Amino acid sequence: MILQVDAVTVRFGGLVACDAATFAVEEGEILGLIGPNGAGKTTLFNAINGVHRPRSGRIVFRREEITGLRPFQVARRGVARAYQVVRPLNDLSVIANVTVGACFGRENLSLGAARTVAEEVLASLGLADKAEVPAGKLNVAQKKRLELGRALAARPALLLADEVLAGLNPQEVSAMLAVFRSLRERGVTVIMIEHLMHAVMNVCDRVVVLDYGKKIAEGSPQVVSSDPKVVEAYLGDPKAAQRFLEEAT
Amino acid sequence: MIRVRAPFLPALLVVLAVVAALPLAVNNNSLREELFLMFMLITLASSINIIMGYTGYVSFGHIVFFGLGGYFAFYLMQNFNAHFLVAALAGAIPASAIALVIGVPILRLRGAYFALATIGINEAMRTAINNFEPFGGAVGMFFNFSVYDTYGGARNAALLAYGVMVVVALATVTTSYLIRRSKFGLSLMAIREDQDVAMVVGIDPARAKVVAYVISSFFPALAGATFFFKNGIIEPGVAFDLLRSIESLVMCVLGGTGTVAGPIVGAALYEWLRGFLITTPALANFQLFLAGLLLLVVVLFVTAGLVGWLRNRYPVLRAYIQ
Repeated sequence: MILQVDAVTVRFGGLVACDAATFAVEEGEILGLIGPNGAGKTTLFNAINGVHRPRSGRIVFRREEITGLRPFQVARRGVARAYQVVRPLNDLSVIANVTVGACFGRENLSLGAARTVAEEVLASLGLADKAEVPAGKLNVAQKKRLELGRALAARPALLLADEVLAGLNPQEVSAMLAVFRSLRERGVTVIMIEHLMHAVMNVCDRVVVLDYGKKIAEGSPQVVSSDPKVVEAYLGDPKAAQRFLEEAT
Repeated sequence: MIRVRAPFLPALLVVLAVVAALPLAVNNNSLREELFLMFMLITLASSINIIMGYTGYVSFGHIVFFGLGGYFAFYLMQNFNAHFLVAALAGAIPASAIALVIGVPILRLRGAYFALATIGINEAMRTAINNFEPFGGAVGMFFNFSVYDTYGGARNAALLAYGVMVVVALATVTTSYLIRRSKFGLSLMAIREDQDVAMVVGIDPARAKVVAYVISSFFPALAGATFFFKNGIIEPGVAFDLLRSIESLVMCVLGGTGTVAGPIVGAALYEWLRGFLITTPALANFQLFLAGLLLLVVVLFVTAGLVGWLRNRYPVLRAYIQ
């Protein structure tokens, strides 16, 4: 077990964004984290990598409690993050962006070594020819790949991927899924927040479903997607959920 | 970040050294005075660039370290007969220590709030020194002329001050270059672009910013010690002159923030322009107006500054001009 999230609760004033969320992630698996908008998925990521301090609960990464550590301390232990809304370092070149990821993450590489890693990562993501371009000048799909590249350059043990497929066209999605499969081969553990169900079905080993900050289901993608509670969470009406499931079968 | 390394730093240092040697070679004292001021401005602008250009924190009241370094060194020279070189170093170290102490809280502020805080600190320091009798209060301190006897008379002391100012400027430029090419510099630039992302990739922003701020306070303190040693008089209004602070920001913007060469080009250009405007009878009355207009044009149309514009316009130059 690489990560254990144990009864984590995050509140913003009166709003409970995560409500005693509990799940575990096995080493090397790709875990899908799904749920309707506002279910607390991104907040959970923020709690794991130290942006938000949980009100209660424990987060254990590789047998070490990381609850309440600062984001850079979590990063140095091997957790990398790709944002949902891409956040490139606009004025820096593409290669500098990825070098930043390699320099300061888990491996704490020297500038030269980090640059070599960055070149490899860019080549694997098909961005090698854009290396010297300022990151702000890339198009959205390229920025998405860059965002992932910056996270991967840190050679993380655990990657938190927040909707990296959103806004991509079908070809770009399948290219991105190939990247995730290669990550699994390299033994990188991934938690991905994703709305594209076919992508989740395709690459995830297991899925955790959140609704209103609570875990409502957990299991293989096939099992979870036919769970009435999950369908209800997405559609809102239990009867509609039932009808939907019957029509589907 | 560029693998093909052009010998940018050696070339730059040679150019600056040749310029510095010029007044000595032709034995021109007024040119030496002008260049003394220019090297001081290069020091101020390049130091501000470390915290403003690389890290993205606009230190409006950065002149406070110039004043503090000047005051500490002056006090040591006058009251303990310390040698100028010893006093300059001994004055710059507490100035940087003060940067460390005030940097920790104020670098938590972002954007305009940080800029305002630095102005507040400069004004507070000026008022404090105004009422601090050991430093001469509002009147300030002045040397007995015999102080210069240690250095072989006032003329030799002025030469020494010139030499030291040149060395300080070269040291500042070298430091600026080394930071820009280092992992530390990359962390500063990541903070400038997006502090939250920097934190998430493993950079401790609070620590990196304070280190940058302390480094950027050290060289203005040395410059202040040198300037007031040569001046022979130090008073709060001159030591903590906000206008000079703003001018060094303008030089940075003019030349290009975030580049090594930018502040140097900006300082030289600004000084040349001011000299030209003041000495041209038709323009003399409008010199501040025209300088302001120029700044407006730069801010509106050449946001990257002169060096930044060149680098963007001709990407080939990126390997040669840092």
